Amino acid sequence: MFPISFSFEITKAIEFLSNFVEKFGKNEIIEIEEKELYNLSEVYSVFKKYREERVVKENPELKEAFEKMENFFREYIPGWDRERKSYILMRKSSTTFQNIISDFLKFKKEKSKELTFISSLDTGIEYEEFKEKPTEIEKDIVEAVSKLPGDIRTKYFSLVTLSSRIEQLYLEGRIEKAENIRNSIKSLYGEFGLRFSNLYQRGYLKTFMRLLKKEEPKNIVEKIKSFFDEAEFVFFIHKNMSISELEEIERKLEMALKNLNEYVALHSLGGATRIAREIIIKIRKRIPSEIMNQYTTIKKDEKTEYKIRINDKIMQIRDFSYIWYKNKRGRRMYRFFEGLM
Amino acid sequence: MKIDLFLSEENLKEIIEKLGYKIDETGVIIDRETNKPVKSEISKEEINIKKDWGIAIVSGSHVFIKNIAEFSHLLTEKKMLKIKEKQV
Repeated sequence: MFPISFSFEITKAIEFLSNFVEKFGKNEIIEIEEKELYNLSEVYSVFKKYREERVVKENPELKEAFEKMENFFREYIPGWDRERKSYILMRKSSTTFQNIISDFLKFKKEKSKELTFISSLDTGIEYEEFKEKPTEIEKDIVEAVSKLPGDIRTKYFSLVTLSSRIEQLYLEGRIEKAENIRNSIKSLYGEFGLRFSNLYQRGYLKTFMRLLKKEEPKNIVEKIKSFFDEAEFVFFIHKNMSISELEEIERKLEMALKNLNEYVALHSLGGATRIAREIIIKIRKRIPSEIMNQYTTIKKDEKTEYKIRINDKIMQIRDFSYIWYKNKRGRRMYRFFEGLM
Repeated sequence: MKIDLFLSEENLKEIIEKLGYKIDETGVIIDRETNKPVKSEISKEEINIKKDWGIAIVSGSHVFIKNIAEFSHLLTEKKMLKIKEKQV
């Protein structure tokens, strides 16, 4: 399926690319703005997504437009020039490009002290942003993670950075990029990494980690392990979860409440809130009131600072969360969620 | 060399081959010198260009990575992560 204004958008994309070609003149390499690079990446994503569609192959105008895009992306190469501190666009036929490839060939044999990379157009820009733009992390958390032993430190530092980046992207309304990071976390660090990221973004782990800076290094790993045990019944609903994954969460949620676990929570954001509401309706019917009465229950149903862009409009994302807690330990976990120490 | 490159799918395949690798029919990248699949520096898994569209080849004996989490892990190992203190 094409977006409604597809042809119009394609015309705009071709105009945008033609402007670059004009700007080049006889130059081999030109500097481009960050915004231009992002737009270039978006045009490339559209090109990649729709080039195999039947309508593109059968409609002469669209076919011509896609051929123009294909030629552009074959002949012109975007990049980041560390010396100029600028994004650039260069001709593939340029000596600069050929020299880069020759240099890269040499690097197969000899180690380079500088970190340079070659990647695909869409993801490479995300890498560059990650490499060049500092990620904002609270000082207390950096101090706590820095105390961890070698291997664990690398993993936790990376997870804290990626989770902070996800949060930043949510605040900027760049949900798709945030989800790319989340998927890569799952791919490298597995379910633990995903859980780390969810608990961090929802405030639990962030608040808890602030406290760790006062701890002796030898105790930190054990404290983190206990924290994850205590947070065992904090569930996160994602809109892309499969039916079996949702059923599993529903089953565990019900069991946790029936077993009177001290802290049980269900969290959802944006498109996932509808699913979470349905789960809550079912759970509330199934859990007897004598169990529910033993808990302090908190319901959150409100707009967050997170944003989403829909058709050029920026909208705030909604949070729907249900929390049941009891006893001192349950209250402590609730305070972590609220960012209170 | 101080330039990072962001390539289209076709150009990326072409450059990977120019750098001494081949891509087998399943998409796995093979080192022509050793005739063995190239593995990610971080996860140690094979790199498949059809599945791992987030791949990057990083300078320094051609380190391959699969996605942004691996890139983050690599930058952390190399102490190259840029962190800014967040005001609370």
